[in-house]
Amino acid sequence: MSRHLRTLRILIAKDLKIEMRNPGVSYTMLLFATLVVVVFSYAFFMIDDRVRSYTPGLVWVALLFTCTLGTSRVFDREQHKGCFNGLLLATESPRTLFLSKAIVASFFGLLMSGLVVLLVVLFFGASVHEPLWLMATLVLGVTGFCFIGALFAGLMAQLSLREVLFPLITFPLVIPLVIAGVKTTTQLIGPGIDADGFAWLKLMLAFDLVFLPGTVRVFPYLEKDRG
Amino acid sequence: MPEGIRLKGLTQTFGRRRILRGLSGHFEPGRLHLIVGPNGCGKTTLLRVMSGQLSLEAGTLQFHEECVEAGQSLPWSIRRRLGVLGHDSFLYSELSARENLDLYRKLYGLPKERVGEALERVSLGSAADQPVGCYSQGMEQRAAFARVLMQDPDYLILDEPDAGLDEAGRTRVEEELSSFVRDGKVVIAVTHHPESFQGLNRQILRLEKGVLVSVGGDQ
Repeated sequence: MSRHLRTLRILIAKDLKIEMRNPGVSYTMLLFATLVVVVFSYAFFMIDDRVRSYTPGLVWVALLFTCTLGTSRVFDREQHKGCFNGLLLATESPRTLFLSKAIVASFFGLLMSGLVVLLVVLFFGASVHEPLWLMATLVLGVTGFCFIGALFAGLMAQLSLREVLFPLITFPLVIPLVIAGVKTTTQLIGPGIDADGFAWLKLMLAFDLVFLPGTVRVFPYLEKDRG
Repeated sequence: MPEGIRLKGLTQTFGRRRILRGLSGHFEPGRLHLIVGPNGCGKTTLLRVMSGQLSLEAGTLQFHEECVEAGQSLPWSIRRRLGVLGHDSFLYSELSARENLDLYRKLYGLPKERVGEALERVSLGSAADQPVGCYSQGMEQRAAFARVLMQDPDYLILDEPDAGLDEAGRTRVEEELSSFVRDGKVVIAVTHHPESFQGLNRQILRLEKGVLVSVGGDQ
């Protein structure tokens, strides 16, 4: 195993261990995702076909807010006692450090996406026709958002207004991903995916192929002058 | 044995305030370089620049044959030989001292036994499995010092290494620094108590108006 992969494994294991000891981020995401779906279920308290047509949008709104909550705090633990600087000194490349954070954020985001879909099925009676394609859509959407989010979370980690700034900067960038996600999910929780749905899925894949390596590449330049 | 560290024309500003003004100097191996000066004169900034925690605005930093210029980061070949003890301990509160040291050990690719040895050297063996969040300031400083000892670095950059330590802890730090100096390592420490480090082949440098001035020492 190359040194970078070894370092990546060590950093991911460290983050998961700390999260298990003090599950602040995962509990907050879990509670928030549940609340969003439950609140929407009360807001649209009538189970008919019209409400079911809103569910793809609801899934993505819940995911966007939940992932914002988790991803914006992904560097929080590194701010205490200068751990971020300690890790930068102890790792060969800052890119490995960023990658570990983005992967951990995506991991929790994907867990929450499973929960959100489950809750939407339970509360809105939605039926998933092609679970594998739905899983692919969620993986592409959540991973893309979490990588972009982790980049800005790292940059804004020391700012007092980061809760406000984070969505303001991140949301406009992920609009294509969310639109494509909603379009694909509409077909997957509906009649089934067709050529149009695959085109949206390809757009998500293209977005990730550009932004995932892009965020990893630019992170060292952005973190350099955090001070 | 490492060569020294040479600084040439280091300049650093915060906003409109210039902290370091074309600072130059040479830190030799086998000598304890103590940097003194009043609060806010730039001692910590200098150490942060030298340890790569702040990027260099102007000037050069030379570690042996490797030269770092303005805008560049310290290369890994230098960082892995650098032991840094700052005001922050770099330790996670949720993990125990042993787990924290083990994390850094793995990242630096060091042998497993180094963790236990380092914890014993700072007399933290019995509390090593408690979370760092439960430690007193002195215990946390010991754990942070153990992290540096474990690395066995060629270059030591220490910001008030005796801060928060009791008498026994201070003596321990002095003994360890003495051992590093004897082994010909480059040791640089900011302190408000230069008199504490007697007989360690000291050079005392005062940071005044953004430049270093030698004000005494041994020999």
